[in-house]
Amino acid sequence: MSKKMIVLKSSEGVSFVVEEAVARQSKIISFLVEEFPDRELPLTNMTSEILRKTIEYCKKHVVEDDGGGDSSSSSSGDLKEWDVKFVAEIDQPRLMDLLMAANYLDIPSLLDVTCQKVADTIAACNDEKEIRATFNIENDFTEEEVEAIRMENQYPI
Amino acid sequence: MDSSKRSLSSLPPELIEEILYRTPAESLVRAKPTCKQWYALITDTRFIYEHLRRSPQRFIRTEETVQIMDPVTRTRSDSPLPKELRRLHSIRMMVHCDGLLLCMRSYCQYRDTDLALWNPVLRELAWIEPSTCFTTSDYYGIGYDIKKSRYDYKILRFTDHRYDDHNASYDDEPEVEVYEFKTNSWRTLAAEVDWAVDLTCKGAAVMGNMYWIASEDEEQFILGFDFSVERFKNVCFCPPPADNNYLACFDGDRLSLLQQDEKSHGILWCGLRTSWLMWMSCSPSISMCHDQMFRRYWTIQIWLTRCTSLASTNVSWHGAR
Repeated sequence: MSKKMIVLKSSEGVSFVVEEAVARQSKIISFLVEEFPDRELPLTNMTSEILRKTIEYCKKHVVEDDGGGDSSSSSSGDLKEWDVKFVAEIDQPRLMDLLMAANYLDIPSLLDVTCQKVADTIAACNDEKEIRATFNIENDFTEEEVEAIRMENQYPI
Repeated sequence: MDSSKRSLSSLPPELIEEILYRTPAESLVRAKPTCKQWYALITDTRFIYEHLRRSPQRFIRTEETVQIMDPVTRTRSDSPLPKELRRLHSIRMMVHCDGLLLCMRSYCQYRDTDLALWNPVLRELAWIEPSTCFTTSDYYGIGYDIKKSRYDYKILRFTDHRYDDHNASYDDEPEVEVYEFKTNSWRTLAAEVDWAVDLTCKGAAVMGNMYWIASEDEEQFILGFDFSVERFKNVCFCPPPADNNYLACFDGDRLSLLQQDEKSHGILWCGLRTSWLMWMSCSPSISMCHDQMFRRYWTIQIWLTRCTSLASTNVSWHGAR
């Protein structure tokens, strides 16, 4: 039996033909293909680049049901390693887009790895200045306020 | 949107929250001054308790500094000790719950003993005033009513007079009492201490309740104190004691017991409800237990910020005493 395919269309109008099982890891797509079968799905707020990345992730994580219960295409240890490499290769702004895509398409495991990557980057920053610079966050505190907040968690001398 | 200008602030608040739930507590303390949105979130009580619920267990070790270690990622953070706890030999006991450490400090004198609740991540230390006095024969536990909220942390104090100096008078002290942070006061319990707690073993908190190794009529057992009904109970038997017995929380809801003798191999037991499973044995070279006054290992979950009650306590900072 041939595998059922669906078409996902990026904001630039580029079509991606993917196996339905791969795309169904997105709860939104899963819902849409049930409601509107045989239709291509326009994802107007996702660029081709991000959509390609998302599909790459879903392909790796697809669980094939071979009738004898669930079996993933890779072992869980390998998958974890693959995930780490996958997010490590993406630069900061694109990681943010991928995180948004995971949220928009409702793919919990991709949301988890992208959030974790951002969290790890925050943890690696030495202070709030480094966090602001890394993530392009505007400082809306005065110098005095920052100093006062820092002192909240210092032992009295 | 132009990808190259994407700022973390442009994410919806619920995604920023998801990210910060996955950030370790000590990094969040550092991240507080990033911007007003983050500050408001990180200091929000609802966020704090959800962060605590999701946080993986880590190790804390106190030596010249406080080291918090994640056994999975192998990352480690270092922070200073408060000056009140720098003389580690004066710390007779530490028990912890949710990353809050209850420290009993004492010097040579029987009654020269004090008690502090310490949050090493927030770098806060609050002294607990006694109802009458604290003594070197005291045992302490920390926990909360699991049926209620974690806001209401409680401290249990009970006394074992077996090794007391006969000249010391202790008639005026209650044998068992509970301190509530909600009211900042001690309340005497009508319980009696008719068992002996193993001196080498410090207690462990698991899911809001406290456990110790105790014995009665030569029989060794796990003694529990249930903070919701405020009663002691004989939980289950305990493997025969070794020179050093370390009771700790395992996997969030079970007890583990590390036993080690001077020469023999160490054995780690894992408690499964009411029985024990031998988890692993380790060679004598993995000497975690020696020199125990200076090397303390605790399995803890890091508790991010002050409990509201702590903030409203009449904190008498040691420096001001």
